[in-house]
Amino acid sequence: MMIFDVNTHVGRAPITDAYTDMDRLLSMMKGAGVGKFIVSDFRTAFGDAAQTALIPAGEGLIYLPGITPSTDPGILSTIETEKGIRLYPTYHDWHLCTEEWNSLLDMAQNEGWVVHIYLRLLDPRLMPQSRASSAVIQWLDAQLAGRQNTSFIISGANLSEVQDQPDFFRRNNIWTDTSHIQGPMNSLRKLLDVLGTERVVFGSNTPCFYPGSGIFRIENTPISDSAKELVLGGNAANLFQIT
Amino acid sequence: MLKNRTYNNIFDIHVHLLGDSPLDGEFLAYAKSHGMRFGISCLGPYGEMIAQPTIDECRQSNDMVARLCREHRDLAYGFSYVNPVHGEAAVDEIRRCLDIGMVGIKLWLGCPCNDERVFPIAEEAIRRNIPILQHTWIRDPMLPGESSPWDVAELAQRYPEVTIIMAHMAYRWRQGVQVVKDLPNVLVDCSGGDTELGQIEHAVEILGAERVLFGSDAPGRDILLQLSKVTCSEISEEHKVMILRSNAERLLKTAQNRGEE
Repeated sequence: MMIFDVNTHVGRAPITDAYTDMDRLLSMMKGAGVGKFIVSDFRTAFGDAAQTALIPAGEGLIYLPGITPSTDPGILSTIETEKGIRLYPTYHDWHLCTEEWNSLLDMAQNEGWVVHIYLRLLDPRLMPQSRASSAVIQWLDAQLAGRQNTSFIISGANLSEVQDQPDFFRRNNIWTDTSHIQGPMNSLRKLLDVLGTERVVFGSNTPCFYPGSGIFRIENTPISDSAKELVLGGNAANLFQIT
Repeated sequence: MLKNRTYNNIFDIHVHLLGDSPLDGEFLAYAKSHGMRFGISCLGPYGEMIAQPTIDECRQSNDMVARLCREHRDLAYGFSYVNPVHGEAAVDEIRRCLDIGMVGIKLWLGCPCNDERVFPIAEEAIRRNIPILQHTWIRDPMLPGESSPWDVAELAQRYPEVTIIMAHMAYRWRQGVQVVKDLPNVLVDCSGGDTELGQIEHAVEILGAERVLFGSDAPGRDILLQLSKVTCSEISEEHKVMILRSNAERLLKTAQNRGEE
């Protein structure tokens, strides 16, 4: 069974300022038993580095560029992303109903990219949001009616948000990452009760969180082995069309 | 049982009894199936936590904990919740709770722990050789009555014989453990917060593994994720066992305090 981690970063983390290079990330992924992982560089989304300068290389990784409101959409065609883009609309000053935003999502739809939306990297008490997660969920919910052919990963949702908006998270083009489902007791099982086993993907949020924490939780949750396999890697492999 | 059996039969120093919540039952089921002992307090008798409880609300909360401890004698160890503003009545309540088998004192938001109203509680803790589990946080602004690690340090310096468990590693753990590093009577628990990378390693490096205790803040937090902070940290297996089990056993001297010897 391949463990597929949809939520990792390299570079200098916001708030903590801790720096993780690619060698360190690769070591952490290997130590945690992760076979495939999605990575972006913090510096493209939270620093001032140009998109094309920082594409990391390494075994098992899929690079997704982090896009900000100031990213030139034209640059995306020069990056061999192939798989998707990452957006952080609770931290960046996106105007969510603009032509630029819609053009970006149109590009993603045309290219067959996965759009990876971050609601949180860290607890908002540590890393304040400039826009509430609920506002982003509400906007996305309104947008997705016309974007059924685009797949979205939502990272950073907590269990309350999923339970409060089950219809949104149950959409057949939405996948939910486990990283911020941090409570209460039996939180993974409760997440699966709402979403089923095929719409949940493992995300560690390395290097903000311990890379092995989410794996430990999944492996020790009393759910079926088939459910564990789907959450740990099968669903992400299907989503990204990796065999 | 957990896949790695080393992580069964451990001790969780920081658990809440919510009362009137199915989460309590979920936590108890986990504890029983994994042989996990736990220190537990109740911060309000009506199903919600009360920052400024009356003495009667403290008594009712503590009676709920005492009942649970009687029902689960092999697992549950009670911490007496008091509000220091009640003065001698708070100390009397601590004595009552210790007489019925509790093993520690829980303080939350009654007043900052460097307030002189806490001094009689610290003196009682010294007399009875029991620890104080003090909710501690770093935020701006602090909640009314909330204790910072600087407040904990002041109390610990005033009473070097008292053992204080600085709960949550003050949340901002990088800063929190530094404040208390030179105070050997201050331990920390790692309860609550997300599974932020490096927190356990940092605490062990700064304080030593013998001063770090596993706590979960369950049932509001997922016990498996809280436990994973320790199991997935890059410290030695010996230190993991200390944090998960033997530090708490040594601290509480559980059998003695429960009058079973």
